[in-house]
Amino acid sequence: MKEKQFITDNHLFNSFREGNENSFALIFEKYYPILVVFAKKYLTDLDLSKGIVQDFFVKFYEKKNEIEINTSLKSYLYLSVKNTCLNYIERKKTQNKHQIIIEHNSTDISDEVSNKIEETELEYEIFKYIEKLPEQCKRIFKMSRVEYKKNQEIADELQISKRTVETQISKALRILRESLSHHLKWLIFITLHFF
Amino acid sequence: MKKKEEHRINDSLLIKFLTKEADENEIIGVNNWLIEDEANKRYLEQVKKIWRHSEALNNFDSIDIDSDFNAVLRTIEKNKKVIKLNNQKLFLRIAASIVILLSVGVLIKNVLFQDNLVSVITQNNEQKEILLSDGSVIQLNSNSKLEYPEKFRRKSREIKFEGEAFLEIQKNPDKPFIISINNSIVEVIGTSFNLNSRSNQVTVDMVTGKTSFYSEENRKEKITLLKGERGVYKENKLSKSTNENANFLAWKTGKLEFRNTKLKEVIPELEKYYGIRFIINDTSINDLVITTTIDNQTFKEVMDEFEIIFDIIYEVSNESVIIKK
Repeated sequence: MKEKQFITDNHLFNSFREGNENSFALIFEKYYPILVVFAKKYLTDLDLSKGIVQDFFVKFYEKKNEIEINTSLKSYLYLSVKNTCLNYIERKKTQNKHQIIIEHNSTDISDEVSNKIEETELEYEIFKYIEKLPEQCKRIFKMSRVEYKKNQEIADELQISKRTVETQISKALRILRESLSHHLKWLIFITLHFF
Repeated sequence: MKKKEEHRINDSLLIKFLTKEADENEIIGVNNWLIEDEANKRYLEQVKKIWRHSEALNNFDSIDIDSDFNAVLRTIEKNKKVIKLNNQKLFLRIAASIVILLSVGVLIKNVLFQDNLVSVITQNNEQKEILLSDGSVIQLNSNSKLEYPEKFRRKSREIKFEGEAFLEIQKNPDKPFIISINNSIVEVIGTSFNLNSRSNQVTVDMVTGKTSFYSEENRKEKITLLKGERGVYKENKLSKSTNENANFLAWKTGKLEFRNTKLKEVIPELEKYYGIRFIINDTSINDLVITTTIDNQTFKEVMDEFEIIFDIIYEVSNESVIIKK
């Protein structure tokens, strides 16, 4: 995955459109998790979000020759998934009513969308950096943030002092903050740059 | 280095604050630290942001890229088959439509345009009367052939004919009656006439009404025949004359009338009527004149009568009759 990042999105997308199946796999690998997390901000349910994004990728594959990207692959994917989610919500709302469904097909980025993208990007960065943390530091941080365990519970479970738990969590936060400082600082700029 | 100092806060305190495990005094401690420097506020904001968003780790952790990618590939494959199947279905549907259209077309053609033709042939010494769907009657003489549709077309009535027949055609100005006979065409609206295509010519002898007579090659050049007129088409030429022969319907009526008629003119009528060939040895016999009516008599009866009247002798040999003095 790391080496593959050297291939630009532009190159990746063009090669995908030329029928390179591997490029499709690479695009999926690179963007699927982010897009699922992004979709979840609209749909709140993770499994539903997975399904919606998978359906999107099926369409993306089938209509590859009709796709026109004016900005970047990333912004295209984000906006497409956003529209897909909004359409899903709309359909759900009007499911038993004979109403005209307004297709969300917007290419504009509202502040709300922009914020959601920003958050997703940050979350993905956190995820990536957490993976690089020393094993115990990572484990304690996840027990706290993912499993919502109290510091004492973690200490008891791992048979370490509460102080060590606090130190490890604090260490993880410090590393994350330092790694992401640039990202945190320039987050808005980066996001805008992408689009 | 100074910057780092500003951010320094007791790890334990910060974590307790974030995990909401801090007590009142500890919270006051954090607040005091925040007031110390704007940078401290930014620091806490950033840490809080990381803290808050690190919750999403769970989401990333529970995403199985490989298995979900396979699911996507399976759907794409399935859709391809569905599209293929749909295309096949579409093809079949189109094929079926074409077959149905063709069938309907053939049916319409059969019913409306293509005639279900009936063929009638008469043998030697055989006559037949045929009633057509429009009410017209055709009386076929022997050795004739008629081809007609069970039902006529919408715009015209067309038949094919060879031999001799008497036709009584029902009047219908909207549907002309068209007879194809030896490369010539007789077109009528409503009339009765005798039609004969024997001896390499077509003869139309009018009884009532009016007909158009023309050749297949030159449909523009028509002759119109009225009552008592005779039209002849021979060697690609059309001609019209008055019908001097009163016995042209003898084959149908069984009556032959001769008034002061020379025997040379009587002989062909008899030949035609009885289907016999005469051989005359003495040319003086030709100019003998006779007035008589033959009404459904046998050949023998007629010839016996002639023997007495003309003082002649006749001999039947094979299919010929020899007349002597």
